[in-house]
Amino acid sequence: SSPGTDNRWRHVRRLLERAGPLGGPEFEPDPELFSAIRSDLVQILVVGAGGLGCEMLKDLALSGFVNLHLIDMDTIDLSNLNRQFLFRPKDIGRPKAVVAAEFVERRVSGCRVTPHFGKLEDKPLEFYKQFMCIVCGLDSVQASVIPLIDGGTQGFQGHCRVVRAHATPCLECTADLYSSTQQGFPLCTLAHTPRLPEHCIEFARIMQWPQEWPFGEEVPVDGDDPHHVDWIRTEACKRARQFGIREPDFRLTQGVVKHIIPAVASTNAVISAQCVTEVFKAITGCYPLLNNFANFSDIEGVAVNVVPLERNPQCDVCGQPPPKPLTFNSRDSLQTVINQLKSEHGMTRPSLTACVEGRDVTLYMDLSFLRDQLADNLDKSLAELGLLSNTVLNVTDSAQSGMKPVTFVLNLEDGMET
Amino acid sequence: MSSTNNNNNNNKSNINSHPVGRSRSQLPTPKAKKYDRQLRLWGDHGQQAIEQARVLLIGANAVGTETLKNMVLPGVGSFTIMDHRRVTEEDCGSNFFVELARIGEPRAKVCAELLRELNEDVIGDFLEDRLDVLLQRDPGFFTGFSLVIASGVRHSDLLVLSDLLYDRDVPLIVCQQHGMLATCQLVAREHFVWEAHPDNPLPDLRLENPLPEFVAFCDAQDLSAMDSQRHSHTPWLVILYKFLSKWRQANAGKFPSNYAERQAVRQLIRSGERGESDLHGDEENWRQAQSAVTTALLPSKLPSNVNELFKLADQFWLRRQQLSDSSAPSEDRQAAVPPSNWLLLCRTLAEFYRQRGCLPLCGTLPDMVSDSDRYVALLNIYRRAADADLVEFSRLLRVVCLDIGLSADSVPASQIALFCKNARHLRLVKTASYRELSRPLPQTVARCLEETAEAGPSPFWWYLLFHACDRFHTEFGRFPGDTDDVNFLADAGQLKLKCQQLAQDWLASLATTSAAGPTSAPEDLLHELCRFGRAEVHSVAAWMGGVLSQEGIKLITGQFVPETRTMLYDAVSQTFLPVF
Repeated sequence: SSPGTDNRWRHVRRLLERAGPLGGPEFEPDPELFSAIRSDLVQILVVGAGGLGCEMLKDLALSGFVNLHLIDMDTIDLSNLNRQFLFRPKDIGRPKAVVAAEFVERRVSGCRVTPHFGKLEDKPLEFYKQFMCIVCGLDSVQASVIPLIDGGTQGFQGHCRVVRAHATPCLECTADLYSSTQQGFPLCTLAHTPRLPEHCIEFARIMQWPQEWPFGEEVPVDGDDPHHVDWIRTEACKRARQFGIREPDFRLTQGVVKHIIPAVASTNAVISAQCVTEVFKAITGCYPLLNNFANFSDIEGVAVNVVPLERNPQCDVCGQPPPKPLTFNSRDSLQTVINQLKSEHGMTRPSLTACVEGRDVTLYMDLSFLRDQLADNLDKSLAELGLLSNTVLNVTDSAQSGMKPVTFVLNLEDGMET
Repeated sequence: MSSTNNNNNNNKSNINSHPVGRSRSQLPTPKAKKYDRQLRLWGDHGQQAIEQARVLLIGANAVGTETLKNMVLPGVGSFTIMDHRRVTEEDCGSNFFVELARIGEPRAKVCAELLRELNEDVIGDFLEDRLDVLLQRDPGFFTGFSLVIASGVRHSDLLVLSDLLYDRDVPLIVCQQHGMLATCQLVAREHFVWEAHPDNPLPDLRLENPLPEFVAFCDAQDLSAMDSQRHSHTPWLVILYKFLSKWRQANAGKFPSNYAERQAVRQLIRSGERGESDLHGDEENWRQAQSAVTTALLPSKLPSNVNELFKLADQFWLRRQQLSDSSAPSEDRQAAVPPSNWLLLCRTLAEFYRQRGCLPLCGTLPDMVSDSDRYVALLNIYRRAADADLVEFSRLLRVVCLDIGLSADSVPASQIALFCKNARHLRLVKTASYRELSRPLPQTVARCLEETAEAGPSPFWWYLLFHACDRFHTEFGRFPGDTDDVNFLADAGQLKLKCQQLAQDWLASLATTSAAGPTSAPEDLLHELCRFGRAEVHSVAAWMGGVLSQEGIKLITGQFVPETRTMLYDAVSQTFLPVF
């Protein structure tokens, strides 16, 4: 550790090295704790390097974490600069993740930020496994076993939530909380009875544009191209004049075309900070976690409200109880597993799939022609099939129609772990 | 449908020459692009106020710099940082606007540089003076700012600072951080909120005393004679009015005054529906009319916030009148100084209300299912009436101005229009001075002590302890627990004493000398504060910085409603609660 470490991190170390009566129930202060959170074991992923991502990166770095990963598929735009403070005018056009990583590494020495310029969806499942915690600036990551801290903002409002598999609602459970801001106007209103400037704008975008292709045949609307937006505005104004409606300006037009959500630095700062405080708690255990959804609004006064959301028992993603363990030896055959499913888990004709090396693999299907095709698997050992401890098995019973898959987790007494 | 086919044929193959209509192109400037996302929240006029603001930050610590960051990014005109300290290693573990390479340099200088480079439009400078010295030497320096933020400043200096700023109407934001906790307080003698931006404002329809043009418009429509297209595209406002009138006629002209009566109107409307057997099926407008009954038929009364403004304006004018009537030379600075625009406008508003029995019409209508021509016609009717009210209001304002010797154009037209449009939501926000706020009333203290005895750790206890820490610092030159000594808890004893002394001080003037509840802070809290040793946990500072920066913007722009209570942020429970 560098000579600078001792005093520099005094703030954080106070929380980790000194006992306190209000700490987490199992928290034990320890001088090693600080170096532990800076070891390779602790890797944190920040999803999104925009308004929330930049703030979270800064907050994580100044919380003492040194192994940070940042993923974002966007490049920097001028309109980002009012709040995405790791970017400067000279960075416009460069990938957000790359520039953000550079800035924080330079400013907070010792902090390593690995940028990933690309889509979250393109990453294999393994990618997530290296992280002890994932912090989102986007609502797109499926809940997994590790804690996920999610935050979102819109103008002067925002939320921060903690997601822990089987303990709190997953993102899917409460998907209806994230109401879309999309203005879906009925087409007949747009076509026959427009009343608002917005109707005129949408008419120009949805109906006039593909009729006239003003910038070339099949060239779609690019909300970021001011000339495109201005064409739409001009047409919208003509229509507005026709109906006696107030003519839209450029700002309104672009806002409707791009579904722009207003944003400021202050709200992003609040929500990100709240998220990172929770990350710190999750990793160090120094205080109990937020339970589990916090709302924020500072339009009138400042209001913070914490709600313990309950899991949706009907949820497709997490409505299942925790996976039951199945204990075998890696040399046992698949048939052995199937026999146990029949004898001890009430299944008649079990069918199994598993995630092997990042891909979903059907191990066996007790159903018509597939029975023969996959019959060879029955005699293979679990090791030969590439199954390791902690592999999750999804099992359905072909004899029970409409049954939801039951998850099991493999526990191999002698075997390697995933 | 009009088309631009002529243009299109010529330009289809040449993407570079863009077909632009006859209207002037309004492509945004680079600055408008940069600030686009925030302009949608506070408008160009709000942005202008921000760009004219001068902000002073005292205390370039984590909370202070995080607050300033969120004001520099949106383009505050200029800032000055005052801090006499030098950058330490510790700072580098909590403050984003310092660097290891710059340890030993003046903290104000380093932070000013690193904050300024966030936004090339912003001017920033710094001072290395000690606050207490400058307060004595050049008090005038402080009153030249639009907003002062004092982060981690000691109590004795805050008293002097606030006394200076309070009467000059320079708002002050005070904040302190101890580890996972932080308190904050706005201090402003008077702050006028021009645009509150309420979440769900009631529409301003004037149905109790309908606009003549509106009545004529509705009377000219015969619902029963309409074909199904027209019937299902009649705006709910017209439908509601017609059935309201019917009900009023049958009830000696009175306006529905309770739930039952409003329900009766709703039933009448329902009876007019044609039902789904009709060709066009969906009569959504009729459903809208029925739901609108809840909000559109509430008796209009003068909002209390506006009534307060009337009283203030009247008091001001009365005092002014009394002073001008008396023969003694006026020594009342308040009366000698011309009233601020908002006072002139409020006085006018009171006069308008006295004469007309209502506030100026807002002029907007909510969206509703309708054909274009009738919705547009309704909008125009309300807009014209609002314009007429504005003209009348402006005339009254000119009289008010001339009456007290001010020029008739004292208030810009755009401000008058903004005022009238937001008339129902105007309010004056005010706090006591820091001197008063930081010495809560004995009754308040007694009540808080009693409450916390049952409920456990509360914001009040933390607040009391923060002040006790300040006294500890005054005596020992450091904060409790701010030591490398493993025996940091040794400070708890002294802290406890300070806490008791403080509570007793605060309770001192209570008639009943037996204080309700304990005056000694729970051991847990004492311990925890010592544990923190005034640590600046960055994520906690960043949270507070986010909140305070927006409070600052509210004060600068006069938009949105500021939080005026003393508040405590507890990052452990993630609560933000009033202290008292």
